[in-house]
Amino acid sequence: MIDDVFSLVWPDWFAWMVAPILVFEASRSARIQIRTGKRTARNAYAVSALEGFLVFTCLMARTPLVFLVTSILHFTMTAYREGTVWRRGIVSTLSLMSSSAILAFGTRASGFETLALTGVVDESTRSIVLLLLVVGCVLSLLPVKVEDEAKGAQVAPIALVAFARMAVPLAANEPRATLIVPLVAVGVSLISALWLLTAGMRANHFERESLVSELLVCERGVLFSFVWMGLASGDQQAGVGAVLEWWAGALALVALESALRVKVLPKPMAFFAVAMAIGLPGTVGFVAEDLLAHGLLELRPLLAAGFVAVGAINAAALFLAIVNVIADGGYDPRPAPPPTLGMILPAMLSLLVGLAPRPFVTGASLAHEATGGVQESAGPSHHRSPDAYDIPPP
Amino acid sequence: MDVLQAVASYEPLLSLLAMLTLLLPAAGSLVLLVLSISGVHPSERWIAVVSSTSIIVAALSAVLLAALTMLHPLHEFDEVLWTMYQVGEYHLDVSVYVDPLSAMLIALGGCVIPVLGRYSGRYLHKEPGFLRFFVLVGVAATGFFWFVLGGSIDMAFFGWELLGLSSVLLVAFFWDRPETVVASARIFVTYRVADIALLMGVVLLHHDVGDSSWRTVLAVGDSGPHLGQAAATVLGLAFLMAAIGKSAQAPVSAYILRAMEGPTPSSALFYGTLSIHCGVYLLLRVWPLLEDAPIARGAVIAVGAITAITSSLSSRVRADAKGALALATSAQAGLMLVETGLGWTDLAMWHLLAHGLLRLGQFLRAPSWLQDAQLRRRALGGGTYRPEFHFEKLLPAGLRAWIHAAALARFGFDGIVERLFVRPLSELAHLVSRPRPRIRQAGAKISASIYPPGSEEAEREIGLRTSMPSVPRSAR
Repeated sequence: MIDDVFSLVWPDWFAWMVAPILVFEASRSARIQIRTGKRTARNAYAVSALEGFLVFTCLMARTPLVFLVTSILHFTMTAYREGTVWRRGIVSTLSLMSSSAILAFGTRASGFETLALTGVVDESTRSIVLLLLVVGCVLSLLPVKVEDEAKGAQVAPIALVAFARMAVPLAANEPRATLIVPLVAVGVSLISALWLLTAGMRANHFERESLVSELLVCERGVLFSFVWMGLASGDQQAGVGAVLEWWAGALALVALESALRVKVLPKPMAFFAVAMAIGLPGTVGFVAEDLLAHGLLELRPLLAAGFVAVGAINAAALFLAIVNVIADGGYDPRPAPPPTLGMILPAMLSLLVGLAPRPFVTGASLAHEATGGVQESAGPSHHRSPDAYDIPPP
Repeated sequence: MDVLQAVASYEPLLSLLAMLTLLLPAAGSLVLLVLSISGVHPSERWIAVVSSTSIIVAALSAVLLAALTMLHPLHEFDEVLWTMYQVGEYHLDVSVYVDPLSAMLIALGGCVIPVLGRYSGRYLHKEPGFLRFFVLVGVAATGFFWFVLGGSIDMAFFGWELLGLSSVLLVAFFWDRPETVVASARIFVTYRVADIALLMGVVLLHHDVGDSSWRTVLAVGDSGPHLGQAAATVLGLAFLMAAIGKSAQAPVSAYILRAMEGPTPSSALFYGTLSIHCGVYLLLRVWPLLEDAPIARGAVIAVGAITAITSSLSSRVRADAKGALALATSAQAGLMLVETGLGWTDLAMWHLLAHGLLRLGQFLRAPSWLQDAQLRRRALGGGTYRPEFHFEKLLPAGLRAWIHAAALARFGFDGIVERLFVRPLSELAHLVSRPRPRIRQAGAKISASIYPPGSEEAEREIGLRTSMPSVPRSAR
């Protein structure tokens, strides 16, 4: 009986590496609820913890059916929490659910690890599932409206988990997907970065909260699109970089949120949060972006150029947005009190991983292997033989 | 002599010196930062002691390392200190490479940084950002030593970014002034583009050569891997773009004037001595790649020559001492680029060293420039001011007036950058992110209360127009 349960739900390396990120995302979600006055602190943390647990269950799911059930539960939970259903949320969640439903009921896949085997999923089904997952990811990662910030807080992690669990092994038999999907991800990240560039203009007329929210939803779109790009590339280095970029993104967002949503702005912490978001040396973002850039270049130089260009736009836009926040945010000019745990913890973690990255890179490598992604780096030949993707049956 | 050579050949000692140089400034900054965050407010004396100790020991180690390396029979020291991480066959090593070129810049940095630290302790006495300044000087020293000592271009990139970040934050030192914050934002964007160009170069180098250690780069074309002309050209252009950003070359040379918003010691450190020369050093370092790329070399010469002429003319029409010095520094960096492009790498190296020391003195004396001039005149016997002869006077008056006006407008480089890069990007951003209906309505209400309804300002404020009107109002 216990073995049966373990065969359905059991954490692997990918789950262990992503679980801390879910904690950060859940804490952000709780803070948003408290800030908007929807819940008391205790209720908000309880609801977010429950929601985080559901996302963690999605992460641990070993079969499409379990994933389907847990994602339905998560969607119901979000609808209950918000007291409403959200149009974009419905479409994105339906895309993810239908892809897992197709795999659960329309194929012979008994678990995620069998998806990479040839003959388990036929070509047309594979294309449909990949298309649905791409739609789900695009809708989850594009910046949401400021008023929908709370609703979209936990949708992006589920979309990325779904992509890693289902699309990555499926793409092992679909070489075109490793070209097209990263390009879509570059597009999403570019749109998010450009939105960030105009975030100050859109929100300048309003109070600081909307200004910061606008900044955060756009930055989230950029950073998580980078994660998606790496996962979708099918390259080992880029895949490892993607897992670390997920860490970098989650830590940077928590740090930005903690540093900017205060009465007295702690300027050094705010600038350090920006440094974390743009991946300056010494932070986990640097390691992640280094691996992503190398991995993508090995695969397709044009893709790497797109990634690097979006990185430049993102850095410039984020710095300008921060200047806007500082200039127009109406912060109390008194000296800032000592930083809170929400500021120090992400900063310390980011520095720790950035300065001593070896154990984390090993963990990320194991996590990438657990998703069933292509193991070997493409090498300098630029193009892989389609045969390289065929995984022999057990 | 034999004893010294034996010491120079003792690698553990050299590795220890390298470690001290690379880690001590960062450790000093970290100590100050932790003290500051934990609510302890150390006195200026203690801040100076912690910062100076770490920087002086690091600088001494650096100079000693450079000197011992020069005594080594091979005149070079190449060592992998540790591996940061490895994925598949790709690994990022922390390594050190010292040869005559890097030894010269290490010696320059080792002499300059402690002097500036000492000067700043007095210059910034009782400034509210005293601690912040010294933390950032430590970060800058870390960045500089990683950039110059690094055994691979990956490490150089690491240092390059730290140097850029610290310089931007020091430009924004007086961040209660809006123009200072805006200036630092513009410099940050310029630096970021340069960083990205360097990153592209790094990644392409990994891709084409399979390794990014300086030893491999220096062996390109000789005993090492052979690059095609196209690959060498692309790499050369990527490194040139990075150098343009860091060394304030045309068309972004004007940012160096904005950088003068920072305190004088930081201007001297970054824009007089160290940071401004990093672009030149990078091109000198990758010279073996440029040798195979005549197009890239031509571009280096062209950019350097244009900067040398335009910045030199602009510096002569500046009314402020720091601005004139900054543009003159940019012009000299342009000349170094020309020398590099022409293959006169030794001349460029000596030019860099001499220029760095000269500008250090000039920048540090800039606040008392008038007093110095008066003292000098008095020492020479006083007398009335007699205008010197200038070669410009040989030109026709109309041409002279045109050049004067162009130099005042910095030859329109700001406009070119605005038109080619900033405005298209801004237009694209507006295109993809039209204001959402609800925000637009709210914005319209606020704008209506400020501007007359339907006026151009009201429309622009709510984002219906781009930031620059296409037709002037007077022409409508």
